[in-house]
Amino acid sequence: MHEMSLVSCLMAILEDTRKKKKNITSFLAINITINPYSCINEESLNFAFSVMCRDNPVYSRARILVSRSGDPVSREFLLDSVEVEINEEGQNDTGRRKHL
Amino acid sequence: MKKVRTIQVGASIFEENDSVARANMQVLKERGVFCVNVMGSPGSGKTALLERSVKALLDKGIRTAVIEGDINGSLDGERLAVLGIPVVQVNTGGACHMDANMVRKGMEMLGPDKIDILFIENVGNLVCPAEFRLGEDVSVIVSSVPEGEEKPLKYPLMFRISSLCILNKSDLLEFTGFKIERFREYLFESASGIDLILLSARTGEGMNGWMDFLARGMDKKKSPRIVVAGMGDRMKGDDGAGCEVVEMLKKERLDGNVSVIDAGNAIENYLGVISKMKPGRVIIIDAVDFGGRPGDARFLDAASLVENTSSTHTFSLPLIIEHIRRETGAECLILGIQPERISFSHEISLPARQGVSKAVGMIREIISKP
Repeated sequence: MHEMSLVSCLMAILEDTRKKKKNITSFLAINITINPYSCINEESLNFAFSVMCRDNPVYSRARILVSRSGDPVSREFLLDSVEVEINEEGQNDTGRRKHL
Repeated sequence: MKKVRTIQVGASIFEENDSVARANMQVLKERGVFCVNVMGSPGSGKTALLERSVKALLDKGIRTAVIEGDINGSLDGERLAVLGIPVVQVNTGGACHMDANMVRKGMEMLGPDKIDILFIENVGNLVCPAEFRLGEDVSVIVSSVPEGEEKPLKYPLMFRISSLCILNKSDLLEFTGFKIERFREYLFESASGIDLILLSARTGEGMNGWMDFLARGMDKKKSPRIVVAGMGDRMKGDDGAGCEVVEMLKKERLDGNVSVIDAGNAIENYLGVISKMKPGRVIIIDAVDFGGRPGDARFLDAASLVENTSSTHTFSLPLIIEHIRRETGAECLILGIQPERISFSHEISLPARQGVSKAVGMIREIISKP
Protein backbone atom coordinates (compact mmCIF):
# COMPACT_ATOMS: atom_id res chain seq x y z
CA MET A 1 0.00 0.00 0.00
CA HIS A 2 2.85 2.33 0.82
CA GLU A 3 5.32 0.64 -1.48
CA MET A 4 6.15 3.92 -3.22
CA SER A 5 7.48 5.53 -0.06
CA LEU A 6 9.42 2.38 0.81
CA VAL A 7 10.98 2.26 -2.63
CA SER A 8 12.01 5.86 -2.15
CA CYS A 9 13.96 4.85 1.00
CA LEU A 10 15.35 1.80 -0.81
CA MET A 11 16.56 3.94 -3.71
CA ALA A 12 18.45 6.19 -1.32
CA ILE A 13 20.37 3.18 0.03
CA LEU A 14 21.01 1.81 -3.47
CA GLU A 15 22.33 5.15 -4.65
CA ASP A 16 24.56 5.28 -1.61
CA THR A 17 25.90 1.83 -2.49
CA ARG A 18 26.49 2.98 -6.05
CA LYS A 19 28.47 5.97 -4.82
CA LYS A 20 30.67 3.74 -2.72
CA LYS A 21 31.24 1.19 -5.49
CA LYS A 22 31.74 3.49 -8.41
CA ASN A 23 32.20 0.81 -11.07
CA ILE A 24 28.68 -0.60 -10.84
CA THR A 25 27.25 -0.53 -14.34
CA SER A 26 23.97 -2.26 -13.66
CA PHE A 27 21.86 -3.57 -10.79
CA LEU A 28 20.48 -7.04 -11.49
CA ALA A 29 18.86 -8.22 -8.27
CA ILE A 30 17.94 -6.45 -5.05
CA ASN A 31 17.48 -8.93 -2.24
CA ILE A 32 15.36 -7.78 0.65
CA THR A 33 13.93 -9.45 3.73
CA ILE A 34 10.52 -8.47 5.02
CA ASN A 35 8.69 -9.38 8.20
CA PRO A 36 6.49 -12.41 7.45
CA TYR A 37 3.33 -10.54 8.45
CA SER A 38 4.05 -7.37 6.54
CA CYS A 39 1.43 -6.53 3.94
CA ILE A 40 4.03 -5.25 1.51
CA ASN A 41 3.42 -6.86 -1.86
CA GLU A 42 6.36 -7.97 -3.99
CA GLU A 43 4.68 -7.14 -7.30
CA SER A 44 3.61 -3.69 -6.11
CA LEU A 45 7.11 -3.11 -4.82
CA ASN A 46 8.59 -3.98 -8.22
CA PHE A 47 6.01 -1.84 -9.97
CA ALA A 48 6.84 1.15 -7.76
CA PHE A 49 10.53 0.46 -8.31
CA SER A 50 10.17 0.37 -12.10
CA VAL A 51 8.23 3.64 -12.02
CA MET A 52 10.76 5.40 -9.84
CA CYS A 53 13.83 4.39 -11.81
CA ARG A 54 12.47 4.20 -15.33
CA ASP A 55 14.79 6.93 -16.58
CA ASN A 56 17.86 5.41 -14.99
CA PRO A 57 19.54 2.71 -17.15
CA VAL A 58 21.55 1.42 -14.18
CA TYR A 59 18.34 -0.04 -12.76
CA SER A 60 16.63 -1.09 -16.01
CA ARG A 61 17.46 -4.79 -15.54
CA ALA A 62 16.98 -4.89 -11.79
CA ARG A 63 14.31 -6.84 -9.96
CA ILE A 64 13.48 -6.80 -6.28
CA LEU A 65 13.46 -10.27 -4.75
CA VAL A 66 11.64 -10.62 -1.45
CA SER A 67 12.17 -13.22 1.22
CA ARG A 68 10.00 -13.29 4.30
CA SER A 69 11.57 -14.15 7.60
CA GLY A 70 12.66 -12.77 10.94
CA ASP A 71 10.97 -11.82 14.15
CA PRO A 72 7.25 -11.38 13.43
CA VAL A 73 7.05 -8.45 15.86
CA SER A 74 10.06 -6.54 14.61
CA ARG A 75 8.64 -4.70 11.56
CA GLU A 76 11.78 -5.73 9.73
CA PHE A 77 12.51 -4.52 6.20
CA LEU A 78 16.14 -5.11 5.30
CA LEU A 79 18.14 -4.65 2.16
CA ASP A 80 20.33 -7.75 2.46
CA SER A 81 22.39 -7.68 -0.72
CA VAL A 82 22.47 -6.58 -4.32
CA GLU A 83 23.61 -8.48 -7.35
CA VAL A 84 25.35 -6.07 -9.65
CA GLU A 85 27.29 -5.99 -12.87
CA ILE A 86 30.58 -4.22 -12.45
CA ASN A 87 33.17 -2.99 -14.87
CA GLU A 88 36.41 -4.51 -13.63
CA GLU A 89 38.48 -2.44 -16.02
CA GLY A 90 37.01 0.60 -14.43
CA GLN A 91 38.53 2.11 -11.38
CA ASN A 92 37.47 3.05 -7.91
CA ASP A 93 36.17 -0.22 -6.55
CA THR A 94 36.62 1.23 -3.12
CA GLY A 95 35.91 -2.09 -1.42
CA ARG A 96 38.77 -3.84 -3.23
CA ARG A 97 41.16 -0.97 -2.81
CA LYS A 98 40.54 -0.95 0.91
CA HIS A 99 41.19 -4.67 0.95
CA LEU A 100 44.47 -4.33 -0.91
CA MET B 1 35.47 -6.59 -18.64
CA LYS B 2 32.10 -6.83 -16.93
CA LYS B 3 31.47 -9.26 -14.11
CA VAL B 4 28.54 -10.05 -11.87
CA ARG B 5 29.12 -9.61 -8.16
CA THR B 6 27.02 -9.79 -5.02
CA ILE B 7 27.45 -6.97 -2.54
CA GLN B 8 26.26 -7.47 1.01
CA VAL B 9 24.44 -4.35 2.23
CA GLY B 10 22.55 -5.22 5.43
CA ALA B 11 20.75 -1.88 5.76
CA SER B 12 17.29 -1.29 7.20
CA ILE B 13 14.99 0.47 4.80
CA PHE B 14 13.16 1.95 7.77
CA GLU B 15 16.37 3.27 9.33
CA GLU B 16 15.72 6.89 8.40
CA ASN B 17 12.23 6.72 9.93
CA ASP B 18 13.42 4.74 12.92
CA SER B 19 16.17 7.20 13.78
CA VAL B 20 13.62 10.05 13.88
CA ALA B 21 11.30 7.81 15.95
CA ARG B 22 14.12 7.24 18.45
CA ALA B 23 14.71 10.99 18.65
CA ASN B 24 10.97 11.56 19.25
CA MET B 25 11.03 8.93 21.97
CA GLN B 26 13.99 10.61 23.61
CA VAL B 27 12.29 14.03 23.60
CA LEU B 28 9.14 12.51 25.11
CA LYS B 29 11.20 10.65 27.68
CA GLU B 30 12.95 13.86 28.75
CA ARG B 31 9.58 15.59 29.13
CA GLY B 32 8.05 12.62 30.94
CA VAL B 33 5.25 12.34 28.39
CA PHE B 34 3.54 8.98 27.89
CA CYS B 35 2.84 8.56 24.18
CA VAL B 36 0.09 6.33 22.78
CA ASN B 37 -0.21 5.49 19.09
CA VAL B 38 -3.91 4.85 18.47
CA MET B 39 -4.56 2.83 15.33
CA GLY B 40 -7.55 1.17 13.76
CA SER B 41 -9.64 1.01 10.65
CA PRO B 42 -11.73 4.01 9.52
CA GLY B 43 -14.90 4.17 11.58
CA SER B 44 -13.65 1.97 14.40
CA GLY B 45 -14.22 4.85 16.82
CA LYS B 46 -10.70 6.13 17.46
CA THR B 47 -11.76 9.76 17.68
CA ALA B 48 -14.82 8.95 19.79
CA LEU B 49 -12.58 7.00 22.15
CA LEU B 50 -10.19 9.94 22.41
CA GLU B 51 -13.04 12.39 23.03
CA ARG B 52 -14.28 10.37 25.99
CA SER B 53 -10.74 9.65 27.21
CA VAL B 54 -9.62 13.27 27.12
CA LYS B 55 -12.68 14.34 29.13
CA ALA B 56 -12.17 11.57 31.70
CA LEU B 57 -8.46 12.36 32.00
CA LEU B 58 -9.14 16.11 32.37
CA ASP B 59 -11.43 15.27 35.30
CA LYS B 60 -8.50 13.48 36.90
CA GLY B 61 -6.21 16.46 36.28
CA ILE B 62 -4.21 14.66 33.60
CA ARG B 63 -3.12 16.88 30.75
CA THR B 64 -3.34 15.49 27.26
CA ALA B 65 -2.59 16.55 23.70
CA VAL B 66 -3.39 14.94 20.37
CA ILE B 67 -1.58 14.71 17.07
CA GLU B 68 -4.37 13.90 14.68
CA GLY B 69 -3.44 12.16 11.45
CA ASP B 70 -5.73 12.13 8.46
CA ILE B 71 -5.16 11.94 4.75
CA ASN B 72 -7.29 15.02 4.30
CA GLY B 73 -9.43 17.44 6.30
CA SER B 74 -9.53 18.52 9.92
CA LEU B 75 -12.89 17.24 11.17
CA ASP B 76 -11.43 14.91 13.77
CA GLY B 77 -8.96 17.52 14.99
CA GLU B 78 -11.79 20.04 15.40
CA ARG B 79 -13.86 17.54 17.41
CA LEU B 80 -11.00 17.17 19.86
CA ALA B 81 -9.89 20.83 19.93
CA VAL B 82 -13.29 21.92 21.34
CA LEU B 83 -12.39 20.01 24.50
CA GLY B 84 -9.76 22.68 25.17
CA ILE B 85 -6.67 20.56 24.71
CA PRO B 86 -3.74 21.18 22.33
CA VAL B 87 -4.44 19.45 19.02
CA VAL B 88 -2.29 19.42 15.92
CA GLN B 89 -3.91 18.24 12.74
CA VAL B 90 -1.50 16.51 10.36
CA ASN B 91 -2.61 15.84 6.82
CA THR B 92 -0.52 13.09 5.31
CA GLY B 93 -1.20 14.30 1.78
CA GLY B 94 -2.26 10.94 0.45
CA ALA B 95 0.05 8.79 2.54
CA CYS B 96 -1.74 5.86 4.14
CA HIS B 97 0.12 6.12 7.45
CA MET B 98 1.88 8.56 9.74
CA ASP B 99 5.64 8.44 9.90
CA ALA B 100 8.09 9.57 12.55
CA ASN B 101 8.89 12.82 10.76
CA MET B 102 5.22 13.88 10.73
CA VAL B 103 5.08 13.22 14.47
CA ARG B 104 8.31 15.19 15.00
CA LYS B 105 6.77 18.18 13.23
CA GLY B 106 3.54 17.71 15.18
CA MET B 107 5.48 17.70 18.44
CA GLU B 108 7.25 20.91 17.43
CA MET B 109 3.91 22.55 16.70
CA LEU B 110 2.53 21.48 20.07
CA GLY B 111 5.32 23.41 21.73
CA PRO B 112 6.71 23.04 25.20
CA ASP B 113 3.36 22.99 27.11
CA LYS B 114 3.45 20.49 29.93
CA ILE B 115 1.39 17.43 29.10
CA ASP B 116 1.17 13.97 30.62
CA ILE B 117 -0.16 11.93 27.71
CA LEU B 118 0.30 12.48 24.00
CA PHE B 119 -2.17 10.60 21.83
CA ILE B 120 -1.31 10.08 18.18
CA GLU B 121 -4.43 9.20 16.24
CA ASN B 122 -3.03 7.43 13.21
CA VAL B 123 -4.61 7.32 9.76
CA GLY B 124 -7.52 4.87 9.67
CA ASN B 125 -5.91 1.78 8.19
CA LEU B 126 -5.10 -1.69 9.50
CA VAL B 127 -2.12 -2.22 7.22
CA CYS B 128 0.45 0.51 6.75
CA PRO B 129 0.55 2.27 10.16
CA ALA B 130 1.77 -1.02 11.67
CA GLU B 131 5.02 -0.75 9.73
CA PHE B 132 6.15 2.65 11.01
CA ARG B 133 7.54 3.46 14.42
CA LEU B 134 6.68 6.96 15.56
CA GLY B 135 8.41 7.19 18.94
CA GLU B 136 5.40 5.97 20.89
CA ASP B 137 5.53 4.13 24.21
CA VAL B 138 2.65 1.86 23.34
CA SER B 139 0.54 1.07 20.32
CA VAL B 140 -3.17 0.48 20.77
CA ILE B 141 -5.37 -1.09 18.13
CA VAL B 142 -9.03 -0.04 18.19
CA SER B 143 -11.20 -2.70 16.61
CA SER B 144 -14.97 -2.54 16.67
CA VAL B 145 -17.88 -4.92 16.81
CA PRO B 146 -19.35 -4.07 13.37
CA GLU B 147 -16.01 -4.92 11.73
CA GLY B 148 -16.44 -8.61 12.58
CA GLU B 149 -14.35 -11.09 14.53
CA GLU B 150 -11.75 -11.96 11.94
CA LYS B 151 -9.66 -8.78 11.78
CA PRO B 152 -6.81 -10.16 13.97
CA LEU B 153 -6.38 -13.02 11.52
CA LYS B 154 -6.54 -10.82 8.44
CA TYR B 155 -4.17 -8.12 9.72
CA PRO B 156 -1.90 -9.96 12.18
CA LEU B 157 1.00 -7.49 12.17
CA MET B 158 -1.19 -4.67 13.45
CA PHE B 159 -2.30 -6.79 16.41
CA ARG B 160 1.16 -8.24 17.02
CA ILE B 161 2.85 -4.87 17.38
CA SER B 162 0.12 -3.52 19.68
CA SER B 163 0.15 -3.82 23.46
CA LEU B 164 -3.59 -3.41 23.81
CA CYS B 165 -6.64 -4.16 21.70
CA ILE B 166 -9.74 -2.13 22.47
CA LEU B 167 -12.85 -3.78 21.11
CA ASN B 168 -15.06 -0.73 20.71
CA LYS B 169 -18.83 -0.39 20.20
CA SER B 170 -19.58 -3.11 22.72
CA ASP B 171 -23.07 -1.58 23.00
CA LEU B 172 -23.77 -3.05 19.54
CA LEU B 173 -22.98 -6.61 20.57
CA GLU B 174 -26.63 -7.48 21.17
CA PHE B 175 -27.61 -6.26 17.72
CA THR B 176 -25.01 -8.18 15.75
CA GLY B 177 -23.93 -11.76 15.37
CA PHE B 178 -20.49 -10.86 16.74
CA LYS B 179 -19.05 -13.74 18.73
CA ILE B 180 -16.73 -12.39 21.40
CA GLU B 181 -15.16 -15.80 22.12
CA ARG B 182 -14.27 -16.23 18.47
CA PHE B 183 -12.70 -12.75 18.46
CA ARG B 184 -10.65 -13.64 21.54
CA GLU B 185 -9.52 -16.87 19.91
CA TYR B 186 -8.42 -15.09 16.72
CA LEU B 187 -6.82 -12.25 18.67
CA PHE B 188 -4.67 -14.44 20.92
CA GLU B 189 -3.80 -16.72 18.00
CA SER B 190 -2.37 -13.70 16.20
CA ALA B 191 -0.90 -11.85 19.16
CA SER B 192 -0.53 -13.95 22.30
CA GLY B 193 0.79 -11.17 24.54
CA ILE B 194 -1.83 -8.54 23.80
CA ASP B 195 -4.38 -7.27 26.35
CA LEU B 196 -8.04 -6.89 25.45
CA ILE B 197 -10.57 -4.36 26.75
CA LEU B 198 -14.21 -4.47 25.72
CA LEU B 199 -15.37 -0.88 25.55
CA SER B 200 -18.06 1.44 24.30
CA ALA B 201 -16.91 4.98 23.65
CA ARG B 202 -20.61 5.90 23.37
CA THR B 203 -21.85 4.52 26.71
CA GLY B 204 -18.59 4.53 28.64
CA GLU B 205 -18.56 0.79 29.32
CA GLY B 206 -15.00 -0.48 29.80
CA MET B 207 -13.51 2.99 30.30
CA ASN B 208 -12.16 2.08 33.75
CA GLY B 209 -9.94 -0.63 32.28
CA TRP B 210 -8.66 1.80 29.66
CA MET B 211 -7.99 4.49 32.26
CA ASP B 212 -6.08 1.93 34.37
CA PHE B 213 -4.02 1.00 31.33
CA LEU B 214 -3.10 4.64 30.77
CA ALA B 215 -2.35 5.18 34.47
CA ARG B 216 -0.02 2.18 34.49
CA GLY B 217 1.68 3.52 31.38
CA MET B 218 2.25 6.90 32.98
CA ASP B 219 3.64 5.26 36.12
CA LYS B 220 6.01 3.16 34.06
CA LYS B 221 7.11 6.25 32.19
CA LYS B 222 8.01 7.96 35.43
CA SER B 223 9.74 4.88 36.72
CA PRO B 224 11.32 3.15 33.71
CA ARG B 225 10.82 -0.57 33.34
CA ILE B 226 13.80 -2.73 34.16
CA VAL B 227 14.41 -5.99 32.33
CA VAL B 228 16.88 -8.43 33.87
CA ALA B 229 17.96 -11.16 31.44
CA GLY B 230 20.20 -14.03 32.44
CA MET B 231 21.97 -15.91 29.70
CA GLY B 232 24.18 -18.94 29.47
CA ASP B 233 24.27 -22.66 28.87
CA ARG B 234 23.30 -24.73 31.90
CA MET B 235 25.00 -27.75 30.36
CA LYS B 236 28.38 -26.02 30.53
CA GLY B 237 29.08 -25.59 34.21
CA ASP B 238 29.74 -22.00 35.18
CA ASP B 239 28.33 -20.78 31.91
CA GLY B 240 24.89 -21.21 33.52
CA ALA B 241 25.66 -18.58 36.20
CA GLY B 242 23.60 -15.87 34.47
CA CYS B 243 20.55 -18.15 34.39
CA GLU B 244 21.13 -19.08 38.03
CA VAL B 245 20.97 -15.38 39.01
CA VAL B 246 17.63 -15.10 37.25
CA GLU B 247 16.40 -18.25 38.97
CA MET B 248 17.20 -16.70 42.36
CA LEU B 249 15.60 -13.36 41.44
CA LYS B 250 12.41 -15.11 40.37
CA LYS B 251 11.98 -16.38 43.92
CA GLU B 252 12.11 -12.84 45.29
CA ARG B 253 9.24 -10.41 45.54
CA LEU B 254 10.34 -7.91 42.93
CA ASP B 255 8.85 -4.57 42.06
CA GLY B 256 6.12 -4.82 39.39
CA ASN B 257 8.27 -2.69 37.16
CA VAL B 258 10.97 -5.35 36.97
CA SER B 259 10.79 -8.23 34.50
CA VAL B 260 13.09 -11.20 34.74
CA ILE B 261 13.91 -13.37 31.74
CA ASP B 262 15.86 -16.63 31.59
CA ALA B 263 17.21 -16.31 28.06
CA GLY B 264 19.30 -19.48 28.17
CA ASN B 265 21.88 -19.68 25.44
CA ALA B 266 19.80 -17.83 22.86
CA ILE B 267 19.10 -14.29 24.07
CA GLU B 268 18.52 -13.32 20.45
CA ASN B 269 15.23 -15.24 20.67
CA TYR B 270 14.04 -12.80 23.33
CA LEU B 271 14.91 -9.52 21.64
CA GLY B 272 11.34 -9.05 20.38
CA VAL B 273 9.95 -9.70 23.86
CA ILE B 274 12.42 -7.26 25.42
CA SER B 275 11.63 -4.57 22.83
CA LYS B 276 7.91 -4.95 23.43
CA MET B 277 8.40 -4.31 27.15
CA LYS B 278 9.81 -0.86 26.27
CA PRO B 279 12.37 -1.00 29.06
CA GLY B 280 14.22 2.01 30.37
CA ARG B 281 17.04 -0.21 31.53
CA VAL B 282 18.17 -3.69 30.54
CA ILE B 283 20.59 -5.71 32.65
CA ILE B 284 22.15 -8.73 30.99
CA ILE B 285 23.92 -11.22 33.22
CA ASP B 286 26.39 -13.61 31.68
CA ALA B 287 29.44 -15.64 32.51
CA VAL B 288 32.23 -13.59 31.00
CA ASP B 289 35.96 -14.05 31.11
CA PHE B 290 37.03 -10.51 31.95
CA GLY B 291 40.30 -11.59 33.53
CA GLY B 292 39.09 -11.40 37.13
CA ARG B 293 39.21 -14.02 39.88
CA PRO B 294 36.64 -16.82 39.59
CA GLY B 295 33.46 -15.62 41.27
CA ASP B 296 34.11 -11.92 40.69
CA ALA B 297 31.05 -10.05 39.51
CA ARG B 298 31.23 -6.66 37.89
CA PHE B 299 29.49 -4.38 35.47
CA LEU B 300 31.22 -4.31 32.12
CA ASP B 301 31.32 -1.85 29.30
CA ALA B 302 30.09 -3.33 26.00
CA ALA B 303 33.01 -1.68 24.22
CA SER B 304 35.51 -3.25 26.59
CA LEU B 305 33.98 -6.64 25.90
CA VAL B 306 35.04 -6.40 22.29
CA GLU B 307 38.58 -5.43 22.99
CA ASN B 308 39.54 -6.94 26.29
CA THR B 309 37.38 -9.92 26.98
CA SER B 310 35.71 -12.78 25.28
CA SER B 311 32.14 -13.79 25.93
CA THR B 312 31.59 -17.45 26.60
CA HIS B 313 29.07 -17.46 23.75
CA THR B 314 29.63 -17.65 20.06
CA PHE B 315 27.54 -14.58 19.17
CA SER B 316 28.53 -11.06 19.84
CA LEU B 317 27.07 -9.67 23.05
CA PRO B 318 27.92 -6.09 22.04
CA LEU B 319 25.82 -6.61 18.92
CA ILE B 320 22.88 -7.71 21.05
CA ILE B 321 23.36 -4.68 23.30
CA GLU B 322 23.51 -2.38 20.30
CA HIS B 323 20.29 -3.89 18.96
CA ILE B 324 18.46 -3.42 22.27
CA ARG B 325 19.69 0.15 22.59
CA ARG B 326 18.63 0.92 19.04
CA GLU B 327 15.20 -0.69 19.41
CA THR B 328 14.28 0.64 22.83
CA GLY B 329 16.59 3.52 23.68
CA ALA B 330 17.17 1.70 26.98
CA GLU B 331 20.30 1.93 29.05
CA CYS B 332 22.02 -1.47 28.83
CA LEU B 333 24.23 -2.91 31.53
CA ILE B 334 26.24 -6.10 31.33
CA LEU B 335 26.84 -7.84 34.60
CA GLY B 336 29.64 -10.33 34.11
CA ILE B 337 30.45 -13.23 36.42
CA GLN B 338 33.96 -14.59 36.11
CA PRO B 339 33.70 -18.36 35.59
CA GLU B 340 36.10 -20.91 37.03
CA ARG B 341 35.44 -23.58 34.45
CA ILE B 342 33.31 -23.86 31.35
CA SER B 343 32.97 -27.55 30.65
CA PHE B 344 30.27 -30.13 30.10
CA SER B 345 28.55 -30.23 33.48
CA HIS B 346 25.30 -29.30 35.17
CA GLU B 347 27.23 -28.12 38.23
CA ILE B 348 28.24 -24.52 38.86
CA SER B 349 31.54 -24.25 40.72
CA LEU B 350 31.66 -22.88 44.27
CA PRO B 351 33.42 -19.62 43.27
CA ALA B 352 30.88 -19.03 40.50
CA ARG B 353 28.05 -19.69 42.98
CA GLN B 354 29.52 -16.96 45.17
CA GLY B 355 29.58 -14.78 42.07
CA VAL B 356 25.89 -15.52 41.55
CA SER B 357 25.09 -14.33 45.09
CA LYS B 358 27.13 -11.16 44.54
CA ALA B 359 25.34 -10.51 41.26
CA VAL B 360 21.92 -10.92 42.90
CA GLY B 361 22.92 -8.35 45.53
CA MET B 362 24.16 -5.92 42.89
CA ILE B 363 20.90 -6.20 40.96
CA ARG B 364 18.83 -5.76 44.11
CA GLU B 365 20.71 -2.54 44.76
CA ILE B 366 20.06 -1.23 41.25
CA ILE B 367 16.37 -2.12 41.38
CA SER B 368 15.89 -0.39 44.73
CA LYS B 369 17.25 2.92 43.40
CA PRO B 370 14.61 5.32 42.02
